[in-house]
Amino acid sequence: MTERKGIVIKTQGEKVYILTDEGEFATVKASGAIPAPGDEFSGEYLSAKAAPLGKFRWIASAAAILIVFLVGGGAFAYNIPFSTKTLSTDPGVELKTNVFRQVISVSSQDKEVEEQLENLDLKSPELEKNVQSIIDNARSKAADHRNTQNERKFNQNPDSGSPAVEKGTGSTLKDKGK
Amino acid sequence: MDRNEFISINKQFIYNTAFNVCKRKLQWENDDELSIALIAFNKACDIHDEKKGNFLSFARVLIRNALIDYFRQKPNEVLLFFNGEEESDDQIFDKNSLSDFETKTENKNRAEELSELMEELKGYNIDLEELVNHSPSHKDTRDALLNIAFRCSGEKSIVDTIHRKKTLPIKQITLLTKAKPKLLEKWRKYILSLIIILSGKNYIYTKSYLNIKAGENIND
Repeated sequence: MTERKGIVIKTQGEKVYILTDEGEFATVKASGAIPAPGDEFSGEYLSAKAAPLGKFRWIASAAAILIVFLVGGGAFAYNIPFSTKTLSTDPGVELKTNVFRQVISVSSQDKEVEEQLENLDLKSPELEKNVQSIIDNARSKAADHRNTQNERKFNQNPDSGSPAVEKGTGSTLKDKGK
Repeated sequence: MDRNEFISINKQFIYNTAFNVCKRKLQWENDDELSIALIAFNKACDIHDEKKGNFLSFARVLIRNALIDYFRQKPNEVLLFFNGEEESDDQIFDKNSLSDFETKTENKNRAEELSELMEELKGYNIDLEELVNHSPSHKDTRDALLNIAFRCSGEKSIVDTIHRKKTLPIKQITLLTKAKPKLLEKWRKYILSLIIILSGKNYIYTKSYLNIKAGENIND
């Protein structure tokens, strides 16, 4: 408890305004008899910044601490893996979810697949939608892959269809030559 | 008892009061501060009456204020600070020796003075609540602002500007004290109040209550 001593300028209820001999204008608490202006008085220092909150400053402090714990706890719970789901595909995909069933990380043994998965938006609150999105992406990539392979096969056998130039594979042929 | 004899009996009191302000050993033969204190004591003998309370308390007020005014005339040479030390034994003894009537008279005088001060500050749009909120709690800051206010209170042009425009002339003060405008702006209300107390002729008890001491020379 900090005390201040000075001459009383004014009183307002239990609040006493004083001027200390060290040149500070301060407010102190009158615990007993209320002093008169001009008296020298010593009392518990009331911080100028804490004064507006008065008795509620302890409640405000407790509420602030509670908010910090709740926000901190929420952030902690969001980032801690709660369960792991594995998709039995080739290559396999592993999804880690938090307590809110939200995907917090995705991994695969195939680095290329993992990179593609990282680019996917898996922030949906429903896990099923996220899994569906991975499957759709895999299907689309597989279809692209099949198309590319068919195109290559066709270009390697030019007698079986239209002229090679028209197929637009001039560059493909060059690349292959290299 | 004639005046000279009375002064001679109270020489130790005069010395102690001057020593409490100057905080160094003083010599009757060499130090101006003791001459100033003697003159102030003599003045106290002239003007004291029952309304002003206990004689020695009143004489102490006059001696302290005379010394502060003396330092103000040579502000470049003296650095002031608020003394945070406990009261000396002499001061405690003097307080205990006051009768109830004398204590009440002194408190009444201080109350009247403070009430007048608050009224004057209202003219500068400063109320007590603001003053409490804009009063530095750190001692080093208060000491720095005291020296700024002290130098300003000795500069007639600044005091006149303050009374006329009811505001702090930041530029003038910056030129005089080399203080940063940001510092002056931040503690504007507190500096204004200090200048009014230090330069005002009506606030002798308040000025005397402030435990102002003289420190080492700035030029050293």
